[in-house]
Amino acid sequence: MKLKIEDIFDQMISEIHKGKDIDRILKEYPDFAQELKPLLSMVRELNSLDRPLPDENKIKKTIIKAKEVLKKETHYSPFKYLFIFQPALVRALVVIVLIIIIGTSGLLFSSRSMPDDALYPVKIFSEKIQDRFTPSNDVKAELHIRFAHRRTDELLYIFNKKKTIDKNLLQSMLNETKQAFHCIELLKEDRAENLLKILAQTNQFQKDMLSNIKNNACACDTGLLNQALNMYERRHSYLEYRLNPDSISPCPCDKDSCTCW
Amino acid sequence: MNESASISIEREKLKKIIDEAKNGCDSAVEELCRYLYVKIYGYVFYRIKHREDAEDLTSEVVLKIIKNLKNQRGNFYAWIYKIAGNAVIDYYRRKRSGFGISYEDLPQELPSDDNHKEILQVDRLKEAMANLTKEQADVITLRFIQEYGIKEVAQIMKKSVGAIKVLQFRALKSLRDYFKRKGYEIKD
Repeated sequence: MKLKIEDIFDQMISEIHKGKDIDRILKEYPDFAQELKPLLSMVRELNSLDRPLPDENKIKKTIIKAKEVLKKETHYSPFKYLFIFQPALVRALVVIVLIIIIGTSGLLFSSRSMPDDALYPVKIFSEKIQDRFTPSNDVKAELHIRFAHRRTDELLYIFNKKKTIDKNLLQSMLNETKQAFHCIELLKEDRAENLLKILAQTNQFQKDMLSNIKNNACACDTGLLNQALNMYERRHSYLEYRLNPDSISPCPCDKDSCTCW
Repeated sequence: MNESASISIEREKLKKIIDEAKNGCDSAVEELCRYLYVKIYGYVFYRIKHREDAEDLTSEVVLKIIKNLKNQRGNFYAWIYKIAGNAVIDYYRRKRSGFGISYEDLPQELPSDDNHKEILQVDRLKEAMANLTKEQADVITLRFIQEYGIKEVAQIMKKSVGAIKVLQFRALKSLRDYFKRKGYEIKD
């Protein structure tokens, strides 16, 4: 196989490194002598250059700095070492698992939070997400009943703490039962009946709780509580009527156009 | 002893020093710093005009290497010269200059009296190197200043041996042409 000029030239460089004379090297390749001689002279000159010697003081200063850098590194965040020596995929998995763990624990803590806690908005947001991604109406109805109970507990908690009625919580409490009712309305009769019974119990529980609060509430909240109790009373009557259609409904509304909800 | 044998011994010793340095052994850190400083300085020296700048840049590169030692994978030499190469590029970027563009800090022509004519001066080489492409300058530095073998240079530059031979040939030709153009003679 015919060698390229670059290969021949590299072989010649190796010969120069071994200490051979340029003219003796070129004798073996007379065809390339004219072209390569100046380049080989260049190589010889480069080889004869003094190698740069660094300043000893600069080296010592660098060593001191390097030791300081390493000391700082060892006192660095412990999480840093979590990622050392790990391939990219493992790192990505570790990050995903950490996000899942932090997210799940955050949701768990937030589910027990009360309106004056920092995590309360997370709780409300997660409830909205749960509602959005729940496909069936019966599960949605159960979900809203559960949320209604949560709002009841929260209203009671705030009342015990501040001796005042939180208007927004009261509104949310009414809304949750309302939404549960609307979901139940879309179900078949047999499944709807069971859920209506549960909703009736919830409605009764909330009504009793508000009645108890009313006895100890500030006069300024009485109007609001009366309005809410009136609404609960009407809903109670309507649920009674739905569960027992033979009874005469004290609810002023028609079955199909009830405004209590 | 042939070239590859000497390199493998150097590598084994280096690996041991690196491992000890990673474990915080002071003497290993010192030995590694000294080794790296000499290597990097040899690489940086012909790329930068001022000795002080070359020393500061070398120190900067060595500290960067030491700091990131634990994260290093693959060919150690390729890694350290990559860091050094990037540092040189950053240096010129900071100075608003660059490879193959200009070497404005250097005088355009050095005195060409008889005493200087036949000597390949350090400053002349620095000036000529600034007119090469980065890859050509890398090959000249690694092959002739740092005295690595052709295979070693190929590993460091992550190219084939054939590509390095071509780069080496063209780099020397460019250097020679530059000297010829400037009237700096090289004794045949």
